[in-house]
Amino acid sequence: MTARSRAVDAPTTATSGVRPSAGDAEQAHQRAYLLIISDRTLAQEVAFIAHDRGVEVHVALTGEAGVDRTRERTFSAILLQGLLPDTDAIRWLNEASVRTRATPMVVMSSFRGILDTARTSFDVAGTVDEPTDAETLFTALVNAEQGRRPETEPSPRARLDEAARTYAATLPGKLRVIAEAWPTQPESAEKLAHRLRGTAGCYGFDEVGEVAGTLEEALSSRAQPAVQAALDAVEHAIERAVERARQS
Amino acid sequence: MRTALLVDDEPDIIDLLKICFESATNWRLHAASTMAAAMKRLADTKVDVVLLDWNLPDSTGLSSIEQLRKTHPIILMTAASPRALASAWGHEAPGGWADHGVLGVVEKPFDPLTLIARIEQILVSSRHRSASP
Repeated sequence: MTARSRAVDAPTTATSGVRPSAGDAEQAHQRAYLLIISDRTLAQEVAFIAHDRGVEVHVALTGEAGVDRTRERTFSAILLQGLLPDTDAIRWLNEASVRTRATPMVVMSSFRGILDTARTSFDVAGTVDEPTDAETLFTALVNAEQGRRPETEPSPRARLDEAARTYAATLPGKLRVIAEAWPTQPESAEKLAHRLRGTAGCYGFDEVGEVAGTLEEALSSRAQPAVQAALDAVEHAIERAVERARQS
Repeated sequence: MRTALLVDDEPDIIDLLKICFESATNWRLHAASTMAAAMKRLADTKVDVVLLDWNLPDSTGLSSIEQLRKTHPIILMTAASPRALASAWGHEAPGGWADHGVLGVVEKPFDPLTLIARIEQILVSSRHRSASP
């Protein structure tokens, strides 16, 4: 019997969470469930360690199988490999985040971009740089399950939210410049609308970006009614964006 | 630690990317708002990838790429429509940018929280492409 099948097929009496068993009588009746989404030998070693310490381990070799497991039950913790045969950790987190939001997760990868994004965009409980070893991964899972997180800098999401609020406050002024430029400097106005189209969405104001695209096309056509209609549409979209930013 | 040079004349994009890169532990970002400033920066700084906007005040599109492609990996960041890009590349085939020495294209608007992962993905994919026979 392989490590994987042994771990998967042999539910055990477990301690609370993924902590190593300490023979705590009160915790002994509680079950801990660990999901490992990985096709690596290293993950099998983690499964062995967890299994030996009384944790019921489920292993999924692909992202899709991992999603299926999360549909079947909730887990005490999840270990997720950065690059899987059918997807990567970021896509997986994106698809599964609704079901796994409350589950402590540890992502392992040799790609800093994946680890940074997992931490900043999905607020995973732990990240582990590869190469690593099974004991380090298991310790990260225990820490994640117990809510012990490494010291982190202020969240980039919070910084981006603040930047979005600042950006939203500049939008009415940007539109005013476009509206003033268009009668005499249509090319300049078109360029500014193009910028608005590309940038607004990056700050999360997709609607502004979309109507700015319409404005860019209208300015390119130099058709007065179309430009005016597009300017009005952008103005309304900006009002909604500013209001949304104010409330956030 | 890897270094990226953003060449973009839009201050809001520069501000946004600064936040993205400051949260990445293994990346450093420099920024230039013109090709002239970019070339000056590249002359005295080792840069692993250039994040290039399509429209710059002193250069546009293929002209910018031609200035950079022999010396630096380029990822294009643009709000230009796929049709406009295909027209610039000279053909409609997907991935036409590869013929011009561009590793990949990040379309604006992009998600700032996944931008670094996207850049790394492009760099890895381009390594695999160049390694394959």
